[in-house]
Amino acid sequence: MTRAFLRLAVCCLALPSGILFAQDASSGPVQATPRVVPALTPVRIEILEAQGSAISKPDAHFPIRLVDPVLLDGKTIIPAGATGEGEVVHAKKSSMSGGPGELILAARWLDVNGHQVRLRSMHLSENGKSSIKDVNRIMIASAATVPVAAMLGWFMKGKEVVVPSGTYAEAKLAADFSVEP
Amino acid sequence: MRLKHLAIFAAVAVGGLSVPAMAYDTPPELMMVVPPAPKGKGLVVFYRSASIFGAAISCAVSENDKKISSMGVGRYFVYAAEPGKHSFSVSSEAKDQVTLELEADEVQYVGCRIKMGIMAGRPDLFPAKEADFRGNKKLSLSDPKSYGEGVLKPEEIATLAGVTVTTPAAAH
Repeated sequence: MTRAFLRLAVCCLALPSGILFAQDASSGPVQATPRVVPALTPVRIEILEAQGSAISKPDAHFPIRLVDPVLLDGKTIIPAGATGEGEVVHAKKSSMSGGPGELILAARWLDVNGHQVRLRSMHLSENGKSSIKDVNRIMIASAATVPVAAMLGWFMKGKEVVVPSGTYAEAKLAADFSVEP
Repeated sequence: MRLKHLAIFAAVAVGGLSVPAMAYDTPPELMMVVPPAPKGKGLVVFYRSASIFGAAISCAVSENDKKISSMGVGRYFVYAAEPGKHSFSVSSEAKDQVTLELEADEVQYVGCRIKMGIMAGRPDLFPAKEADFRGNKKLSLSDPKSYGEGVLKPEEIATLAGVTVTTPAAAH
């Protein structure tokens, strides 16, 4: 009985010191590991200014806003409503012979606590309705019958692209985004 | 019958008189194959539907006035480039241009069609989606002889896509 008490006492003394030893060996000064939102994480953004093939200019910038918060382990890393900027990559008005308008927009960055978080892969690329096939049909038909009428098709235009303010688009984070815990 | 002949003549003649020599036979295993982008690069697939209109006109695509490649009717080619903005153009009696933002490890699509012009048909480049490209049942690779720098050769496409080519390509 006395031996059993002694063993128990030794165990009780040894256990905490063992834990302490394990802690000493593993850590040293405790360092917080930054949490990382990985590159290519999808984000949904809202275009805050109307764009269009007839009104947008290449290289022009426009305001955007994050629609859904970016979460990591259930915690908000980038809040919904964070604002940023997009850019017009390509804009072409509709043209003669039924050519439709064309528009390519890109998301550039979001402002997070004064830092620009770069975005990529916002594939909002739209073409207006093309009338080229209609024009070509008119042209072929009229060239075979009344050649002069073929020129009428040349004056037909395709439809413009319109992206209203408030349009949602998908983009991705361009690089890892680290946050101090 | 006479009308039909006239219509075909009109459709082809709109493009001019020269017929591009684009008689490269794509190995069947590579028809419509688009490989993943080489690591860190962006890909652009340029294609042209098999429309008879302006068939005599070739879509010769350039970047910074340097020819990349050309396409006849029902052809495509795959161009690999560094990420960033790239402006591609085609020209005949008028110039048309499309600017893309290439992203690393991603594929984008650009179509080429022939619009009616005053004296001849005008090639027109337009941004497209994969579905537009896939909407063309059969597109063959354009002739590798016309490839400039950055255009993936058939054997490079096969390697990147993991396709084994058993049928040798032929050019007529």
